[in-house]
Amino acid sequence: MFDKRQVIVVGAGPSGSAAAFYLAKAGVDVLLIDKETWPRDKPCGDGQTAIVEIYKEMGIFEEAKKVGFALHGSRFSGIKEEMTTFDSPPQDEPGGFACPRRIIDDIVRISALNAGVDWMENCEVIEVIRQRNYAKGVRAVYKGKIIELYADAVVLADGGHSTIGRPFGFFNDDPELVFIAARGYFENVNGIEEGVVEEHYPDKIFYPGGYMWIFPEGPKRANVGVFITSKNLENGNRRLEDYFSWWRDNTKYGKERLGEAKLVGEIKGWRLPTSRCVGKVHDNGILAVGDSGNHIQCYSGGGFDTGMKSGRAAAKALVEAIEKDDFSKESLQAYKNYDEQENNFMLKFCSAIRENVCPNPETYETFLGFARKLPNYPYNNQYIAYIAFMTKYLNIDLMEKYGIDLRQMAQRPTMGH
Amino acid sequence: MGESKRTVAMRTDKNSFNLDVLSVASINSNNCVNCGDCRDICPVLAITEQQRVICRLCPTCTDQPAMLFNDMVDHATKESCTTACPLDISPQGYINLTAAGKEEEAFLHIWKHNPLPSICGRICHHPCEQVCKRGTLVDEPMAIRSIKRYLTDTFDDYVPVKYPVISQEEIAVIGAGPAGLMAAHELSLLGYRVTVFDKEPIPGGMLNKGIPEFRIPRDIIARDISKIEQAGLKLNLGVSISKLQIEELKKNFDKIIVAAGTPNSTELQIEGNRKEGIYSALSFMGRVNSDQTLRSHPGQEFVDNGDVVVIGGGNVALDCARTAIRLGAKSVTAVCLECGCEVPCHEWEREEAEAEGVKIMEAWAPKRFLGEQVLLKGIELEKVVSFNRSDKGAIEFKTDPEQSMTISADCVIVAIGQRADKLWKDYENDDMFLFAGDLSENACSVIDAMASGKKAALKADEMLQGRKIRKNEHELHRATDKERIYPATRLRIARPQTPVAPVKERITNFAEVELEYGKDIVDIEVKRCLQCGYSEVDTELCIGCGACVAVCPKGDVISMVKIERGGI
Repeated sequence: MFDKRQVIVVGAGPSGSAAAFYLAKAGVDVLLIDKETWPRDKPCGDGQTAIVEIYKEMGIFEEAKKVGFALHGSRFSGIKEEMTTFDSPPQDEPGGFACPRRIIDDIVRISALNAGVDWMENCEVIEVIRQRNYAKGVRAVYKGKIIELYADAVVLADGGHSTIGRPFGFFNDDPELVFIAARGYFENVNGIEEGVVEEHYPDKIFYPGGYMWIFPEGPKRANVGVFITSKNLENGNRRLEDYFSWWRDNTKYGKERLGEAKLVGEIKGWRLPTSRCVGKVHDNGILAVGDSGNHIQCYSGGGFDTGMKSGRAAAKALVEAIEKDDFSKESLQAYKNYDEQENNFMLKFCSAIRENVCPNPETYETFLGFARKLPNYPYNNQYIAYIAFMTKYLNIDLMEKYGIDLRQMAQRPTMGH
Repeated sequence: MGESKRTVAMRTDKNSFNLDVLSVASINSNNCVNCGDCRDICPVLAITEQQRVICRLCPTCTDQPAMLFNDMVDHATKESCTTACPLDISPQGYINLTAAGKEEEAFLHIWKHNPLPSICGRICHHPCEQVCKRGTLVDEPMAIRSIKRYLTDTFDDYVPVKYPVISQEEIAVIGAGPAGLMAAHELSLLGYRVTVFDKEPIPGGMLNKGIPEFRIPRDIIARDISKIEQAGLKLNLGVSISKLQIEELKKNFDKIIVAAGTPNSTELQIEGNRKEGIYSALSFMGRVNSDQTLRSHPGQEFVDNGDVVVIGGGNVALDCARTAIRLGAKSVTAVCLECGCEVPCHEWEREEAEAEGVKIMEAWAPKRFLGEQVLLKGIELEKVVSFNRSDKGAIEFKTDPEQSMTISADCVIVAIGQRADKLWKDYENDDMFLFAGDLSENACSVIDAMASGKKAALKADEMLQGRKIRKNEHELHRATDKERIYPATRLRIARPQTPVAPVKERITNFAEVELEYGKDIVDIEVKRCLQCGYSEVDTELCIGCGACVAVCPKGDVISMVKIERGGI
């Protein structure tokens, strides 16, 4: 078979491109396919944090620095609408960026192509080809024809809607853990500070875990969005895009930020399947990375870093599997193990925050008050504040209850989600 | 409590059944194509149709606006392609059987429900496409009719299985149009001896007489009807039924289904309506269809290079207009009372007609025909200022005599409706007679006429056998959240344009305007289906008979699984 590859990666977002990059670096023959014509827009809050190490490995850190807005702080408000600030001390290099996904995703993808990844765009995968219970390739529509592409293993990186991963049980549809988000770019947004992201929790409908966000991308320009569990969206009986006008008309910060603002382009929404820890992410001959493997944090909704790291973990496991020539579930268990090493800390930690810091408006207000009284305020790390609140104020043993090893915190960059 | 039924069913031999361990049917929802065959055969109504909710929460995900969560959920069970088809065909079923490489099973699914599939594949007004959720919630509906046409053309040489002859009762069907043929087919499938009578020598009724050849070639009509004949239906053609023969029929048959249609054109009662060159739609189409040579048939002299005016704005009117273009008219104008969206023709028919050069004048009423003696020179029109159509179809309108105009006309075709023969009025209350097609209700389209034929057939069976054949009730149930469909993952390929013959070419002849999809286009188009529906077994009701497994045309959908339940 001439059209057989070692690995096919479905989806060229950051997770898929990272997986393809690390595979190609290890000398694996890898085909990256995507249904879009690139570069493409992707609705997102546009914040990328905890990615410095992986950007450097992929050789795109300098480029990302040029196109992104460096982040240095964050602000939060609860139901009482009192602003609480966390500002990082000045650093040599930024801990994160805000950059439209249309730009940064393409930089990540091109770095994969430069590493030797073969590339097909406009190729829509319709199903995974299975033989004897093994994934053996994909069936896709390409240039108006149905084609079949075969491989030893398939990496699914086709995002939060990944329905082709459903037969393998990768799909998460728990309405409490699946968030729906929408974002729009606004001009003339008042009261914001460049490099400082804002999250507002102004109504009980957002709890747990949901919020309205402002990610500044230039003077008075911001990515504004709503993030809410699908269960709450159902209960709220309001259309997703109507949260923007509701926020503007009914809250102090909504009025200040959006009162004179103008929407540029249209509001776009998407689905975020989150999880409390690494779940089912592999089967015979197939690995799910990024959103399709539910690598999204169930408190912040961040998934850029965890997704890319899952891609790196998948590549590492696949290189080993290729050496053994064994693509069984048992052999690919290595992926799950690496993935857990990379991501379980953050996924579990966010789960703990969701349960203990923002389960309801009252507790969250208590936390914000606690944070404002910390020494050094406002120059604190928000994660240190979460830990202090949970361990000191609520007396929770994070190791015992959640299996969170706080020593890993030292490896986290100081800023953002 | 649900156990009692099963206990009764199984207690015939208590040694051979272990009532604690039972086999029940289980349907794999991923593989099910929602053809409905299992639902139809299930003797205990244990199988229901589930409709998946299609996510429409995010703005700009599809061409259609985002919805409130509850509206989105409610939409799932409102309508579907399976409930929209008047003949109970499941478009989702044959589309996805085609997608699974089972084209013959797909064709047979259509044939079983519809004895005129090639005809419907061309001229059905496809109510299924109107409600297709790909169309209402995402972008454009599935090209269901074109897929059906592809299937019927692929299996044009299909040899049907002979109808069973089970029953002694004989049934006469009067009229070999869509309604009559459908009734005859349905009754033949039930095992009755059926004879169809028609006064024309060629079967098809209005399909032949009313619809021009460029919309449906005559060999296609013949093809479908010959299959019904091959299956064993007796057609008695060239037989005109009058009062005398009716008495004869009453003696020899147990039931008479009258599907004689509306063969008489409604006349336009205005000044000058007896002039030369004024035709009713039926007489015009009848002349053209009985002699397809473009030259030298009666009436040609008025059309050829003349100004043709069609009175009416329905599909029949536009068919006449498009026919006149092909006969070489200098200009063709359709004049109708309605305006805007009230014009009764289908939008695509109007688009095609206008592309061919038909001019449509909205909101004008003919006042009188002009010209000396029998010569026709033109028509005087008055502007319609108010128009109202009641629920029953009665029309009321007012014109403004101040606003009038005259248009020149060498030929006028009056297409303002049709009437039934008065003869049948006398038998309306006679138990021997059942009415179908245009005589039964407002069955103005081919598919509706067929549906009424089917209804009459089932009614006849009910009256003769004292039984009621259960037909799929098409109650839609909402599927579990796990089955939700995300349009973001849809195959983002536009519905292919239906190929049509170029305007310049087509206005010169009567060749078919709409052309067929190729296999490569069909292969992709069938993948656009969102697959909203599937069947589900209620294991509480299932008696484990396995009929559904035997009947499933796909083969990989239903399996019998053991369940253990104590307490019986």
